[in-house]
Amino acid sequence: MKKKYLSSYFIILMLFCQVLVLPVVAISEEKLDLIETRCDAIKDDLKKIQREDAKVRVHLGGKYDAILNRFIMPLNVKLVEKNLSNADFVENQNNFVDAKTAFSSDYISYQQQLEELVAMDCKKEPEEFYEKLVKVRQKRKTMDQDTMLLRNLMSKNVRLVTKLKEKI
Amino acid sequence: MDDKKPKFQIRDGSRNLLLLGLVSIVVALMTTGVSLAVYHNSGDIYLDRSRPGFLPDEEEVEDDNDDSDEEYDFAKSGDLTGESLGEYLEKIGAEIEEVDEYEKPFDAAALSDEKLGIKPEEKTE
Repeated sequence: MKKKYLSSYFIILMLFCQVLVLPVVAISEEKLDLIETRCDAIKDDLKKIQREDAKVRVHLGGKYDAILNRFIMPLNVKLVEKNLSNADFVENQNNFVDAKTAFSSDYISYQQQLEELVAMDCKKEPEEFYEKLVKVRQKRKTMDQDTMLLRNLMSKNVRLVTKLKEKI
Repeated sequence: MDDKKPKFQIRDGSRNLLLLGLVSIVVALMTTGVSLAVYHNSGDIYLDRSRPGFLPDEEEVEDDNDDSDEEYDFAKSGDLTGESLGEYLEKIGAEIEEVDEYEKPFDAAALSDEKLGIKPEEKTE
């Protein structure tokens, strides 16, 4: 009886391990052929994206810094000084700082992955190249979410200040 | 007693000079390597637009110069009036507009199969 249980546990464990090991992405032969033949063009496109991303990152990063250091933080200091501060303003500032930090670190992680992808030999390793591309897409998606969150926090700040202006 | 040769000869001096030069080169290479590793691992490399191929366009440089003329800071001290908050909203609105110039800045579509030209054509029968 014990042996039977043991063997069934073993089978379940094996199946579980297999699920973990199985590649997440199913890549068709046609796609692998396209990657091999278009390898140089793909790399050129990726390098263009890298350059464009650097431009966007520097521009947006500068804007986020300006909004935090020249608007949100000085206003909160003044609100505290005038005893007008409330939890929403403080929470919004903290969330903005956290989101900006995440934006910076996620960008580094995304660019590291993209750099590794560009360095890969897609003619020799098209399958590994595509798997890496899928990972880079995930990182890019995170960047997209970070920028959306920061944009929402800016809008929230504007709403809070508009409300405050109506009260004064 | 006088037969003893001096410990250091001129030849030793030139050898030491050569050694000093080599050690200096090795130390320079090591410190440069460490600096480059820090530069890379800290992620500063990805923000450095002075790298070849990443230099800003002329238009960007002009835009940056324009911005520096009219920098606004919300005053931390002084009275808090409707007028000052109105100015705050106006100025932050302008900054947000510039952020919005990038519609979907990290759009996932840029890395899609279609964009990279690796989507196999669908067979029509």
